[in-house]
Amino acid sequence: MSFGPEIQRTVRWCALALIFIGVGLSIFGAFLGAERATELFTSAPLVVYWGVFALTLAAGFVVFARMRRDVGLAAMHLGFLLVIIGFALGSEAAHRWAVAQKGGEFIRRAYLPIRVGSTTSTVWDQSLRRDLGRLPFAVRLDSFEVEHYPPRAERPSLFFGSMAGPHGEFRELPLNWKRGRTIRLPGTAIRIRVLEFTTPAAAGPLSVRVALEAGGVTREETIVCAPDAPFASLTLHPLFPAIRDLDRTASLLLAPPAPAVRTYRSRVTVIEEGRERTAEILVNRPLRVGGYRLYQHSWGEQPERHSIFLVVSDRGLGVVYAGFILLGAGPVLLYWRPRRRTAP
Amino acid sequence: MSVKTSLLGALIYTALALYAAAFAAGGARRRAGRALFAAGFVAAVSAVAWRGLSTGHIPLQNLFEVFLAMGALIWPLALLWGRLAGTASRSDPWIGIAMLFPAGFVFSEHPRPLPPALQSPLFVPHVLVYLIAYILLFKAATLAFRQFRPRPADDWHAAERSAHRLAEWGYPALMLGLLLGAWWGKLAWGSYWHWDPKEMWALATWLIYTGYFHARTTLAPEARRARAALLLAGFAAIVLTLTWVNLSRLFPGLHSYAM
Repeated sequence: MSFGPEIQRTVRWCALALIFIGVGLSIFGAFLGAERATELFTSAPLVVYWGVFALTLAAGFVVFARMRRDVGLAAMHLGFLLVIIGFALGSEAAHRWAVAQKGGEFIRRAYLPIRVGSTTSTVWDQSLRRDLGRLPFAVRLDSFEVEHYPPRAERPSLFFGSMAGPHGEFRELPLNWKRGRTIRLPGTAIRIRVLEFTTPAAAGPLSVRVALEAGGVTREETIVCAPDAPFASLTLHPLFPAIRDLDRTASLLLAPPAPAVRTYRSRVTVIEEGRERTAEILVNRPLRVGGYRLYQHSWGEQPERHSIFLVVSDRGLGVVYAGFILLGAGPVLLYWRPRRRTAP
Repeated sequence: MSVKTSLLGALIYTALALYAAAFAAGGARRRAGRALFAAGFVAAVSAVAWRGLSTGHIPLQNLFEVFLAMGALIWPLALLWGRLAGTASRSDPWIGIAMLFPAGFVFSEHPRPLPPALQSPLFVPHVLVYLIAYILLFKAATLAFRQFRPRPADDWHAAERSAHRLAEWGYPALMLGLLLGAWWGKLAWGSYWHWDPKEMWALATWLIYTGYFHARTTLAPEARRARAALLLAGFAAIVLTLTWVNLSRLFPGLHSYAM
């Protein structure tokens, strides 16, 4: 089948226009933030845009013989077409349509909060207030652990605290300190210099020795934070009673650096059609079950230790992944191949 | 400004000094320049290795580590483009300086442990192919820039051919970086696309280069400056994605650990 140069030129220009509209929309979408960008890119006008893009890709196969002959070129364009189709199949509209045709629950993306030791199949919206339905399986949370990295030889955090909040509440301001550097405590005449400190990695309690100076008076003090205490404080007013406008709550606070999280680990038992199986869910290691994937999303301690899983339907994902493979292989096949050198 | 007084800093500044000396000695076109460029690479690789050993992870976590890695990648990639596109030039060590300078003087070397989301087998390939793409497309952009300077026509044509060849090598890497990121996003966050600001800029960058390849078959052969402008626009999008999008509070999102 052959098409004239006019039709070929039209398809080429149409593709180029769609690509640069996509550039503009992507940059605009970046300024909107993820939530509003999602709304924009799944809105009716943009669904038309994706539809026209898919049709133009399909038209390319019909109009250009090279796109059918060259494996790399074909893979690249077919890959993008599959990604668009897979995205459409995984969309909310496609899920609703499938439910209307086949019946069952409509669960595309939901949240499964679960306390340690309890079993549930009920999923909720992101606010965890609206019940979205029941999964075709139940999950029991056997345990949930937060694993931390060992304490590092990292300097502790120092704050200046006082009842200086806009509504008279206690407010802590972080101090940007270095050993030997003199800094002024915000809103006061007091200057502070850290003389020595210990880190969480050292044996013994966390401590800092400081020199405080105001109005010609210099005091050296040591603040020590007990091993399980969240912080230790040094009240400043007794040290400098001559400073009249110094708030009586003004204090220097020493806090250990927050421990860095290594991983969140949920151990679960999945109960599906009477059968039980145990599994672990970690970040980057979701659990596949019954056409859904369960992701470690969040956790909490109140009122009891619990884990929150993100539950996502896999509908359309196979088509998208097939598109990814073709889209990735296409440019490699097309461009990363040896070329014969031509004479200049 | 963040001047380093550690061993890591000494290695970075040694690499920078050797790259500068390589440029002064004639870059990739002279034997002395090539030797100094290779010595700079050894210093940069040593800095990457030292950083990896001291942090316990492949150092590609934040912008400091990313620029450090790019400073080491420049030498093997310059060899590659010298062979593939015949574009080894005196200025190649300058690209190394441009890559290493932010690691040496802008970003803090303060290490952070890998957060759970970055503990994935896809972490290294995703970032690494992106860095390879960025460097290849940087070089393509420097060649594209020649289209806007008065030169003999033969020089324009040669520069355009070389820039196109480099874009052909950079584009698949850019594509793989995007796809590996999408796959990783699915495993870590439940969706292969989040419409996150950094993802949107990455998409815009990819689309600009896709547009460049389409423009080559759509625009008239004499529209060389339009094609060159697209290569420059693509590279501008890379710079914005790597710096402004990562550093600005205008674009909060899932990729905030890059800082």
